[in-house]
Amino acid sequence: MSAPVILSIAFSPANPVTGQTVTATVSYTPGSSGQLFTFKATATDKVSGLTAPVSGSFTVTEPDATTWDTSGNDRVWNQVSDNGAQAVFTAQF
Amino acid sequence: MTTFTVKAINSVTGEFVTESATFGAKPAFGFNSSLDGGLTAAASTLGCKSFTTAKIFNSSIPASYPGHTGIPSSVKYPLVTIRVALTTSSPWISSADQASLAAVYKSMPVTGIPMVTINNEAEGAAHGYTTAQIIGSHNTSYNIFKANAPANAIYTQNLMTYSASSGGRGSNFHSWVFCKASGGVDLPVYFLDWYPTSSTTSAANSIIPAFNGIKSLVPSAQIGIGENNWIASSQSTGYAAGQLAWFKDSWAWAVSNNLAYYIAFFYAADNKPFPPTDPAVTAELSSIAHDSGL
Repeated sequence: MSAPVILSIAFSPANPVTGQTVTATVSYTPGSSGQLFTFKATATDKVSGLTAPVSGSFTVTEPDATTWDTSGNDRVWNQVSDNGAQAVFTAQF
Repeated sequence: MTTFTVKAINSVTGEFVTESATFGAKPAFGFNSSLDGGLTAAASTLGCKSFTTAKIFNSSIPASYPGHTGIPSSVKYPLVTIRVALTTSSPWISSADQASLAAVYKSMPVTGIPMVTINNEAEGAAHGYTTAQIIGSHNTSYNIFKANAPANAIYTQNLMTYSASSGGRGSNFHSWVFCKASGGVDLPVYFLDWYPTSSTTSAANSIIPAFNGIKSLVPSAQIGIGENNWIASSQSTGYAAGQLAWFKDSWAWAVSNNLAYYIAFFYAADNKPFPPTDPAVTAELSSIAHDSGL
């Protein structure tokens, strides 16, 4: 299980003036959680008919969806999009 | 500089990470619309793009916003001030003037960020008003604004940096700021007219008391400069270090402290001609304009 990893944050324009809309692009890798699976099988000797159980466990790790929180900033940032690798926000300056 | 903080949360497990990044946001730069030669000529003199902000004075309530013709269409963030004679009892603005203000607010443009206030610098002793008149009249005006102005319009108050000094309202400055704490409402932006408190007071020291005063009352408010120059109309001596130093220092402070607007005031009849008598000041204003994005 893991949290997302934020790789970078870029702004456009980099030096906005009052009245402009600023776009913040957050590049990230999603967090993940795993699901445990168990494989069980029985091996049978074809001549004697003796059997032996065999089993093993493995985890399937899948990326999880990410939610975002931009509260606490000194202005309102609205989420525009999120494609699983980049989340985009805008704010009025 | 402005900081952007974002929290990314694993929607399944709840684990999260928080990151912050900073970026620069420069004040919008402009002049009073009455400056010598006009705004269009001023932009040409400074070799910059057309101004997006300007301060427009009205000595009486106009028929409609902004009260004057000839304001360049590039001015998307105008600051319009309207003089209203206050009455001596609540609601502090006559019925006739209330109706006139309603018409002005109703006529504000539905694009850009048009701003309006009444009684520029009226907290000053020279105007002879009480705190009840100032706060009460803004309350009356604000309610009319709320009922009539478009959603993109902003109501503001324009005070003087001098008012927060010991020679102005001093420690009672907060009582003259129209905000929730004084019985009004917290405004999104407040403007300060920024002149040297004395000929030896730096730009920073001239504004800090008023800036801190407003920020302590309304921490989330933007602060803009409604007027700025090295000598006030009431002064006989300008800033001792000179007009060039005043503009260099005041712009640097405005940028460092995330001021939203920086409107300079030039008017020959007020001992502040444009272009300035010193070409170095003109060059500095040009530099400021370019740094602001123009």
